[in-house]
Amino acid sequence: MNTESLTEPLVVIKDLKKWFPVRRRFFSKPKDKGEFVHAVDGVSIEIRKGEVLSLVGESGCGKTTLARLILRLLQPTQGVVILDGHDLFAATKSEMRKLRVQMQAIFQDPYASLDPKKTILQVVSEPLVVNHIHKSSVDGLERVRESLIAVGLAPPELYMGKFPYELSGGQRQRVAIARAIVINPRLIVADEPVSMLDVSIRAEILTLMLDLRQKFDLTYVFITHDLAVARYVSDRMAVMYLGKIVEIGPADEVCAKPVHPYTKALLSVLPSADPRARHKGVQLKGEVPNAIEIPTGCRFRPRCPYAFDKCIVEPSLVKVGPDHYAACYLAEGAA
Amino acid sequence: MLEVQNLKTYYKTNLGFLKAVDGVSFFLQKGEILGLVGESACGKTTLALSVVRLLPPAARVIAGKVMFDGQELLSKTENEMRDIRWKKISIIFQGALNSLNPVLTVKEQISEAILAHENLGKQDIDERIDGLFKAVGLEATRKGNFPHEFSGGMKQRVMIAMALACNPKVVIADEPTTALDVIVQYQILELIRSLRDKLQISMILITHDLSVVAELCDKVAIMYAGKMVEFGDIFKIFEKPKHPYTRALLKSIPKMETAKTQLSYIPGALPDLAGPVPACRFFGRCPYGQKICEETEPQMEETDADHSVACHFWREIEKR
Repeated sequence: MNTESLTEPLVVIKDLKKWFPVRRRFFSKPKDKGEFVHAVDGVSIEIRKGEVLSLVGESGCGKTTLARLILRLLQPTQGVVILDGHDLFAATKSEMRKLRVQMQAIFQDPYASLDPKKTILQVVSEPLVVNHIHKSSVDGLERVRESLIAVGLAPPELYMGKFPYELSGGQRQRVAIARAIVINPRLIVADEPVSMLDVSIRAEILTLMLDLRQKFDLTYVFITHDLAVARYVSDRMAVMYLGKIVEIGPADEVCAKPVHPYTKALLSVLPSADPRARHKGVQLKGEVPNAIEIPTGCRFRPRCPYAFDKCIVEPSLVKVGPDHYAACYLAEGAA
Repeated sequence: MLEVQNLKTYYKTNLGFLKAVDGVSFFLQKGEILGLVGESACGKTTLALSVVRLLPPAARVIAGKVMFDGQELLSKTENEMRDIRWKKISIIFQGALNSLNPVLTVKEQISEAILAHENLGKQDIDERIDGLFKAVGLEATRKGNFPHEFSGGMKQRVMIAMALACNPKVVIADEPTTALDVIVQYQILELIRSLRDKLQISMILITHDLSVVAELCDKVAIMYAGKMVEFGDIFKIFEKPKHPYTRALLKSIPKMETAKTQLSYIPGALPDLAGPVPACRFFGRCPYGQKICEETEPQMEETDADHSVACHFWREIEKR
C-alpha cells in the first residue's frame, strides 16, 4: 500500500449531526419542549481508502450512531456523507442501490446477527440476493464458496448446509465476515466485532480482518471501546466524547502521545497486562453527562482536571502533530 | 481461609453428565484476591456457585470438599448454609447490573439482605446502610432511589455494598466489571482494592480479562474446560507461565506498553464436555501435545514455591 492511496478519501463526512427527539411523557409531543439526545453532534471526518479507522469512546458517546449514519441506516438531522463522490443522503433509490453494494456491516453479537432459521449458504448469499446480483442462493453458490474459503471456513461444503447454532462463536463471526465480503464491498463498518468473543478467539478474528483488508482492498471503520484492540488494528484512531470527535490521529501516536485530557484519562485507566506495571490512573470527576443537556463550551469541561476560563467557548480540532488533531485549548501550543 | 479440594460438579443433561468442574483444588488466604481466569464455559461460575451451594437443580457436586474456617461446607444442611452465606461468604453475581429489583428502592433491597441474616432494628439498619454507602463511595442520600436512577457504575457499587452488608470474610465477584466502560471499570477496581486493604476481606475475582487480573490480583488460577491448569503467584504466572494454555492466552491479548506485535491465537475450540474428552483437555489445541497427553491425565505439580501446573511437558516447554 502506497501513501498516496492512503490519503485519498473514500468517505467524506461533513458536519454530521443526529439528534433523537425525547419524549418526557408518553402523550407529550417531543418537539413541544425541544429536547433532543445529541447522539452525534457535529462530526467532520475523512475515511481514507485502504485504512482502518477506529472510533473509540465510552458507551453512549455516539460511536454506533455515527456508524449507522455512514451506512445510511439512519437519516441525519444535518450534514452530509459522501461516498466516493456521491452524496448518500441525496441519492435516489436506484443510485442508492449501486452505493449499497459498496458498504457492508459486521455487528457485535454473532449469536444475534445471524438468522437462526437460515443455513449458512442462505445467510452468506443474502447480500447477493437482496442486491439483485443473483436470483437465488444457489445462483450465488460460487461466490459464497469463495467467500467462506477467504474467511477460513474450508472446505465450504462442510459449513454451507449448517445452521448458525451448530457453529462456535468464532465460526459465527467468520460467517458474518463472509457475508460482509461476499459482494466485494469497499467499506466495512464493524461495530464491536470482537467484544463478545473470548480472548483466544479475538486475536484470530482481528488477524483475519487485517488479512482480508490486504486481499480485497477493504477500508474499515472499526468501532470499539477497547483501546488496546483499537491500537492493534487501526491506522488512525478517533476518540469520541458526547457526540464529538475530541482527538484524531495515527493510532500509535494517539496512544503514545495523547493530547486531549479525555484521551489521556482513558489511556491512564486502562488495566495493564503486566502486574508489575500497576499504576494510578486519572480519576475523572463524575460520569458521562447525558446527551440531552450537553454542557456549554467544551463538553468535557465539567470533568476535566485542567479546565480553565477559556473552555466556556467550545474548542475546535487543531493540528497538534503530523496528521494528529485535538480539540483542546491546551493543545494549541503543542503543535 | 477457604480451601477447595478436588471439587467435581457435573450437570445432568440428556446426553449424560457434563463435567463442568472436574477435580479442581485451590486455596485462598486472608486478605488475598484470587483471580479465577478462563474462557466462557470453562466452569468458572459453576465453581463459584458450588462453593456457596447455589447451584441450579440440574447440577450436582459429585466429589470434593470445600473447607472454610475449619468447617466443611458441602456436608452442611441448607439451614446451616444460610448462616454462612452472606455473613461469611457473599457473592456478587454476574450481570449484577440487571440483578437489582427494579420496583424496590436500593435501601429496601439491602435491608432485605441484612434482615435475612441478622435481627436488627430500623435505626441500626439505616446506620449500617449509611456506612455501606460511604464505604463504596455513594452518597447516603441516594439510598431511597430506585435502581433505574443509578448509572451502571453506581449500580455495581450498590451490588458491592449489598455483598458487604453482613461483613463477610470472603467475597466472590463474578465478572464484576465486564459490562462497564473503562473509566468506570477503573473506579470499581480501585474500590475493590481499597475495600480489601481496609476490611481485610478475601476475594475470588472471576473474569476472562487477564489485564483486570494483572491490575488487581495476588494469585491466579487458570481454568480450562473444567480443569485447573495453572495456579500460583501473579508475578510468577505472568512472567513465567508454564502451561501451554496460559502461555497462549497471554500472547493473545494486545498490549499497550510494547510495540505492536503479531498476536497469536489458539486454533480450534473447547472440547465438548458432555462427550468423551482427551486425558489432558487441552490436547488437540496444544502445540506440544503428544501421545501421553491423550492417554494419561497430567496432575497438578508444584514447579516452585507458590506455583503449580498440570502439564506433562512443562520442563521441556520452559527450556524452549
